[in-house]
Amino acid sequence: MTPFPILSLVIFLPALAALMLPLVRDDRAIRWFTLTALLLDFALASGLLLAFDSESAAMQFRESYDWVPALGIGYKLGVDGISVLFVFLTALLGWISVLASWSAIQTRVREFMISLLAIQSLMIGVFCALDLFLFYVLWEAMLVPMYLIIGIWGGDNRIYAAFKFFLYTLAGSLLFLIGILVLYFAGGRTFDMLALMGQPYAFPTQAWVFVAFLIAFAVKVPMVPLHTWLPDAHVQAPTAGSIILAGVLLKMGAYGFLRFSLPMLPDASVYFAPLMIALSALAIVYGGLLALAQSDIKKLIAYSSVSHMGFITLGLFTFNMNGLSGAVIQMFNHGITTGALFLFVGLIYERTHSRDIPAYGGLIKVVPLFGIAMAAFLLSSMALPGTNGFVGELLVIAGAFGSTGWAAGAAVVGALIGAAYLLGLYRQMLLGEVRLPEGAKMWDLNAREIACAVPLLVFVFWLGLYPKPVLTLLRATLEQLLAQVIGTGA
Amino acid sequence: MDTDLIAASVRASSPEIIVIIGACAALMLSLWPHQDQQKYLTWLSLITILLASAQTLQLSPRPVNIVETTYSGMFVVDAFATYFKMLLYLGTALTILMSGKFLQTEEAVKGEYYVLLLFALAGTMIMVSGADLLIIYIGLELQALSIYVLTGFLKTRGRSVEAALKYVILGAFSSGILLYGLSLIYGLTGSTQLGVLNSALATADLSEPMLILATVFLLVGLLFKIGAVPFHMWVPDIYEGAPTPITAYLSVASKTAAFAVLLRVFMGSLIGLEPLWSSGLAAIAVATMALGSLVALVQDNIKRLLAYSSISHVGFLLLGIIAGTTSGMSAILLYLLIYTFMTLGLFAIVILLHRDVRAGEPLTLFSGLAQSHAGLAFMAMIFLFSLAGIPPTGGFFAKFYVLVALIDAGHVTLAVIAVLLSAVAAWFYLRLIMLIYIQPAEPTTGSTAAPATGPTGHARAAILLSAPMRLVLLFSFSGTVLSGIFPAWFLAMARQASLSGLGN
Amino acid sequence: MEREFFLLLATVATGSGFLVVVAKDPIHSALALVACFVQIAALFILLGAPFLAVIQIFVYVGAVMVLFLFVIMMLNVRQEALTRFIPSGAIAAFVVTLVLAVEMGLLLSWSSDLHQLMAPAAEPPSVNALSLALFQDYLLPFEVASVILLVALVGAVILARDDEKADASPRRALHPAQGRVPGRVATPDTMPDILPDNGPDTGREPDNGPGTSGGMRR
Repeated sequence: MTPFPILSLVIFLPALAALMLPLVRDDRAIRWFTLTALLLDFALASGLLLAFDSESAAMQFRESYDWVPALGIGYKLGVDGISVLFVFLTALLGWISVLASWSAIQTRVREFMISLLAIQSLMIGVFCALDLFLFYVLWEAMLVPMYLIIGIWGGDNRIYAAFKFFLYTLAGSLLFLIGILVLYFAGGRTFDMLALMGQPYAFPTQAWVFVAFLIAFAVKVPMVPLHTWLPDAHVQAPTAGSIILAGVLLKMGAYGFLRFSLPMLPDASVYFAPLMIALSALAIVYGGLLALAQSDIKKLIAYSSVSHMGFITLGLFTFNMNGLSGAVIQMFNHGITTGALFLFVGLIYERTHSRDIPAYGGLIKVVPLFGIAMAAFLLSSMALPGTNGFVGELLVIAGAFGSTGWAAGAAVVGALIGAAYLLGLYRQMLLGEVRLPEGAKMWDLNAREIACAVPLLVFVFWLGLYPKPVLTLLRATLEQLLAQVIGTGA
Repeated sequence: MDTDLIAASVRASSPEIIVIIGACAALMLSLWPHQDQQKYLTWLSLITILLASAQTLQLSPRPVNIVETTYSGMFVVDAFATYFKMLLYLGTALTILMSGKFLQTEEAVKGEYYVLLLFALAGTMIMVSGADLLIIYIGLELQALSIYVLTGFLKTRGRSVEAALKYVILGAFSSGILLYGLSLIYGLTGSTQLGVLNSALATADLSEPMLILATVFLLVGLLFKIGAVPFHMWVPDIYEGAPTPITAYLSVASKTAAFAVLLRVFMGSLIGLEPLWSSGLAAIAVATMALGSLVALVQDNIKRLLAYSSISHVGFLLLGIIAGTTSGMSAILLYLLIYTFMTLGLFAIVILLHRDVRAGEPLTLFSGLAQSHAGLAFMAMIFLFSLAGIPPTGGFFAKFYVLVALIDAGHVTLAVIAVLLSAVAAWFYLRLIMLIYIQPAEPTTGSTAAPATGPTGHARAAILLSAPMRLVLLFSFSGTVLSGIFPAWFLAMARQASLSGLGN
Repeated sequence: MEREFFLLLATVATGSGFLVVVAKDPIHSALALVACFVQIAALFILLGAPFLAVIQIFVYVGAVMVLFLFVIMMLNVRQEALTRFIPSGAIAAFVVTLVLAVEMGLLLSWSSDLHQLMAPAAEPPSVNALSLALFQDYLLPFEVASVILLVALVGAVILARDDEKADASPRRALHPAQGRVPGRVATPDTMPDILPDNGPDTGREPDNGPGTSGGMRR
């Protein structure tokens, strides 16, 4: 069907490497092997991005094989403008997480790297899947390596955090499964996503399925009433875990809304939009306020994630081009920026073994490179013009003004709160008198750490100054999506 | 009944005859004192099972919808029975393979163990092939009697004897209930043959109290055997006390056979009475899942935990009956197959970790396994995730297909309850995985729990993987994984078998 | 007339069955069981199955019960049996039983089929007919029942046989698996296990799990 199964290769390369890892001898070789595999995967994903035809809204690089024909389950892959972007982001954060855990993970390196490779495969697979069953299998299987990453290599309270993470997401996913099955029977016994899109489901069906999907995705995003697992998971997870969690896993929820809720359940999406917008506005403000009250760096960033993810869901449910493209860009940005922030927290934690904000001060004088890079990411997170965050938030707020004025107001307030806590963090940690936790051994960024930070910095400024390529990439796909929602709904 | 008929009957039941002859041969062999007696007995039993399975396959009906009835309508050979027999061979063979090590550890190497297992196998085979309530009952008794003795096989251990006594009493009690229901059915219809019952009950008045009573007794008797909730209380005690391979056998083969009977009787001949039992069964299924999952949370003995886990799996399986469709039935068949793989795999690991019956099987047995035995730990994790129903393992697909059948039949609410309860159930499997991967090995293992850097670590007394154990693990592991990744083939078998099981 | 006889016999049978369970002395239990069997044999006659009645007397009363009494007297289990197997919860069990019995009675009395069920066969079947049924129509159950008897025999032998090797150390050496496990040498704490009277209700084994002795646990 396709001349070359590039998507399968991108998906299974890390898995294959994971299978070979038990044969690799010592920890050093394991690290290098994993890094090579993920760099290779990144190269493939970049090639995919370059080869992608952004003019077309259709799924590209498609692969389709029967899997369980009796139930209409197929192994179907394909990417559109949205998913190709996230495949790229996932592949990028993959090798960065290996570098980030290069010296931070010293025990059971082999198992760690296997988990990392496995989750990498699964995440890329989720973004490529065009079959609901395949999507679900990968989606839920993702829990396993993440659970292990948090549970084995996490902080002191890791077991609690890992359990909470697993059970929250599992309960949500299982409802998702029921929703999928209802759609399966309503849509003519097929799990093919493209066949399930644009079918005229009865409104009650749509509404119930939407609620089931909402719970699943709201846990993943996370949206406000269901967000309590996130701070625990983030605080306890090792750096690489936090990067992946914030960078990719949280995007899964928003991606689910984009891929399923909007195109498959347009009537219900429109019907529930006010609720979604209200929850998003609540998340923006409430998450921000919680972040303001934190003294643990990781917790602060975790709550800021809740707030930033609120922008994304807000953008999604404005149903206009600005809001949608803002949301998708914000998804990408959040992956880059928050991933980077967690990386930097990890780096500082390696040096000082403290995440207590008041214990720090004047870091920029001690470790200038570190301080400058961290400042850039903080500014990007608070959406300073010229950084990527600005583009995303601006588009979302513009979109929100186009649909629900008061929500846009809330978003502006949220952005201001964001500026408050991020600047506070910036001032306390980087400026002022030099103050370090006891027993700190400071060194500035070394080559490996610079290698992690540079690509992320590039994206921060590239997207901030010249977002056009990404917008072009998304346009055709988002226009089609919008037509699917507005065309049949409202 | 002339000679031809008798010959046909004997031919149809030849797998059962092979197993019984094999059991008798093993009985002879067990009287021959020899150093390698156990090895020979294992081989003999396995060859018997292999022969029987070859014969079963040879007799398997082609095309699949043919039903051959012999022994004056008491015994059928159809695709349904063939599937279940293969499942029982698998379960019994793996049980036999994993018994060797356990019996040595417990110093209870006795030939009669294998004899009784083969007799139990014969009993279960008769159960799944029975087309008459009477022969089903007799097969059940043959199976039960063998298992009673096997449960108390470690007769110097109080727990084993206690379990056996409880099992005898409760087993006899439930058999009595079953028999009573059976006699009422006979009184109402004048027959115990399932085919006759089907037509006799088609016109029956469903509000007739006697019929209700008969159905309830029959159902309760069978629910007792599968350990569904309010009739589950024997399960944990007996699972805990029985020798571990027998626990594995109980939770797999015994349950499989009882489910076969439940399916054949309730989805086949008593399907006309569905209004009488379907809502009650739905309540029982939910209660079974809920109790199994919730009580398992507080267990600290691995065998008791697995007992409650099996109770919650039974609840999930019952949902397939509630769906009441062919796909519900094939969902159960598929589930039982995958359940056999994952449960036996986990039990094999429990046996490997087992040191002494006196020490019991605390959950801490698993702690630190990942450091000392990375491969075993990985397998245990896969089995546990499969039991929890996490993809891409077989356990997920099994549950998935039950849900498909359930939603297809319109029971969405039940499906939602089921998935939420299985999320609860995931908790205790996760707890075990936590122990395996996070907790350091308990200090009582004798050596220091130094963090091992590779598979060569010595955090606990080294576990010797004998060849039979390797075989068990290989089988169950590949079964668990393959049924998750390539479910199509397993599904096709289950669907084919279920086509013939309905309405015979 | 028949009805009155049935009621009489059934009442006595149930009463003596009850006595089997509640009697403190095992001998009394066994004798009550004999009485119960005799009533059932009489019921068979009432149903027009004299052959079965004779068999019932021969096999159960004549053979099984005599053996039973023999065993009870020889083993002197009278003391042992005085401790009840289920010490508590008897009241709850009794209540549940009563409720179930009342429910069953009500359902049965509402049933319209009740009296048809009790109609006896028109003429008593001959032994010939019985054997034909046994060896033709019910050939399979008959054969399987014989296997059950074999299993019972084997099982009884296994459970009753004295295990002289339970503490014999030479056997240990045969199993290399034993050598590696520390603490498996016969120490004094293994002794209670091989005492002959380690009944299920004594709760004598080392208590590892919570409450290992009798009664159901959750």
